[in-house]
Amino acid sequence: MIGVELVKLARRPRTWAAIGLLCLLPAVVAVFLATTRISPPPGQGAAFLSAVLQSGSLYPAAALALVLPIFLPIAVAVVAGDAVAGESAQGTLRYLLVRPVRRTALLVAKLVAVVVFVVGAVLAVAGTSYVVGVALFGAGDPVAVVRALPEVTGDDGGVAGTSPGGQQPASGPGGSQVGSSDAASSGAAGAQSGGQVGADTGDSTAAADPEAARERAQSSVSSLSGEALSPTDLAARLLGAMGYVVVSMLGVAAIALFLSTLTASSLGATLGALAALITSQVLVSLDAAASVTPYLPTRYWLAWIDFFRDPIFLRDITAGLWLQAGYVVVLMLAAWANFTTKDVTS
Amino acid sequence: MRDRVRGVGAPVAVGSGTTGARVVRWAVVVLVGALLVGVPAALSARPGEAQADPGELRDRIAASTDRPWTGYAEARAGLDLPRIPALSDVTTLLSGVTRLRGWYAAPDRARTDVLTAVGERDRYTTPTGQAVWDYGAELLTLVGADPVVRLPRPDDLLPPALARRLLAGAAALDPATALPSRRIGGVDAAGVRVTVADPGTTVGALDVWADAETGLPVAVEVRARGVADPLISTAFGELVQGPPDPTALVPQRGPGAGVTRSPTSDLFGVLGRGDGSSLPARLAGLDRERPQRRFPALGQYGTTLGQLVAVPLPADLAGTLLGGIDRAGAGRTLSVAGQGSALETPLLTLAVVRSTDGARAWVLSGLVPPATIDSGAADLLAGGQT
Repeated sequence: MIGVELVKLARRPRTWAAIGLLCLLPAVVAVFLATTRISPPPGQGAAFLSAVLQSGSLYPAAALALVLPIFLPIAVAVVAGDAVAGESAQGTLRYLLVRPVRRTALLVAKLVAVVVFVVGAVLAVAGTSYVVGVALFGAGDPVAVVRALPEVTGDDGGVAGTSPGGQQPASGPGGSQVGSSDAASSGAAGAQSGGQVGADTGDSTAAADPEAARERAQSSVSSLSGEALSPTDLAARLLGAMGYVVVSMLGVAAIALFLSTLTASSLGATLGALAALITSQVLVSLDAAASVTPYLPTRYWLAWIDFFRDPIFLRDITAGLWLQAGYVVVLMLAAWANFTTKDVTS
Repeated sequence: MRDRVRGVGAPVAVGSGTTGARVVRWAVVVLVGALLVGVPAALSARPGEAQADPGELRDRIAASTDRPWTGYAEARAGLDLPRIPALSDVTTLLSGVTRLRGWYAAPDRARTDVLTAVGERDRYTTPTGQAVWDYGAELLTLVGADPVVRLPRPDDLLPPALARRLLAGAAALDPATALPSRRIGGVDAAGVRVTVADPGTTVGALDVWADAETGLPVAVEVRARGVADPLISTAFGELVQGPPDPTALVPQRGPGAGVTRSPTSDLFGVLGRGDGSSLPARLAGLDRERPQRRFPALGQYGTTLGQLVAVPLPADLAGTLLGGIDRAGAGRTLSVAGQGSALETPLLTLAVVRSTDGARAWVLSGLVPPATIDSGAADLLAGGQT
């Protein structure tokens, strides 16, 4: 049963069109970023878009941030909304059900197919954006990193006000800090920046040592808390974020699937699921609705970024996993209650 | 063909259940849904059992500075201040929700992260000073020292810091009454309400819930006089008492990020290093406290919740602030000899006062009623002669 559904999914051109479009958006954004080198100002725009200019290996995270709010849920709602209603509309549902197939098993198979679609879509987005990111921005390539070394002197960590003499502010994005909303710190920083120049002797040694440069290049991505991330660490966090994004989409899938058992119109089911999501998004941002926000399907969607904090912040991630599980259980039960007793006439 | 299918499909069309079975199925759905929503809600809403003598609890809270913890807190401030250029950090902080992650080992070894949807801003306190990591700006700022009297910053809204700071400003004789206990961040916390008697401050009552054993505050609600709902409320959502992971307390700087040094990270700290000769010895009936070393231009008047803070402003910044307040349309024009605008909330008032010739200007602030601000502004313009 599941196999049949998966084959059906794979044979649909729409599946591939959806995945292709999902991959296209981050690629278009990457091309614009790479050609103009204009990243969103700090604290604005999608997450990680500023950081990818330094290392393309972070681009999968930025790509997830781009597709998560709208494109991915739409794709999921289209596929899940069509699951049962599509069969019904085409008149194939009754043919399907005359086979010795339990309706519950059919529902589960439909859900599994949607999950496989989500996993495939997220993997495709992450994979293509990694390739695009590394191709356009480099993976923290040694040349760019060595060029940055005068600012990034030898003492990683242990910066706690102990480094002698202090260092010159970075000429890169750090330099543009002056003028941020924190008038006090930036103003004071600006006043001081003329101070010690090249006080650290680490510059020349690091620049001259290709080994050090390579090591530096390998961990040229930092967590949101400033900790340098090794490629393995980064890969593990990316996998965690991708897994979480997949789970986040299960709620949408369950809503669309349930609606799909109510109506014979896939469009109706898809739009219904999207309407539910938009309502949820509006309420999440509304302070007055604080009492219900913990139960809204989109409440913890953005928690995937917590994988990139140090230490990893699991509170919202855990809450998000439970919430999505709750939606899947209740809505799949509702779908089962409706579908197993439904008169199928088309 | 159609007829044949209909014939075969007859059982299908009828469906595999009767009306009774359908009702049972939907009942299961409703029941599971209600359980999933109700059980967590009931668990979090169940009343606590902790009890403590309010006076003793207040003392224990004041003595809890050496209690280490790791946790996550959300602070909600409803002062509804408009966004004013040069003060946007403060106005944003006091007019919305701040998500904070904290590690606290000792007063001089702590870290607070302000979490946003796209990054974070971390403040490390180390024995040698402070360090601020800004992910968005990719910059680590090593801060020399901030003055004791300074603008509010996010780590002030952590329940332990807010409770201790505000209770220290309340009078020892202010009545403390017990509040029903609450379960907050996994702690069965006892509550105490300190009703502020001093008419010189807008603060009406401080509600603090704390671990009855350790005295560590886990939730705080600040009410203004005559306002029923708390204007500032902060509570732990997650809390582990005990020493934090020491590696979390070491400032980190991302690869490629810059490092800079700054003597202070606070606007009052920057301004307070200037010339304080324009500050009178007495303001609105309050005597000036001895200025902190290295911050001669920071005028602190009084030490209780009703204290006033006055700092001389450079002409350009005064113009920016006055313009910002006017543009926001939320200021009250002060009827003083010079020019003055006050941003008023039921709790906090912040005024900018400038002499008629524009040569002298100050920022004046406090948890005080409008009359105190008016009187303070007049005193500043009169050079402390009144």
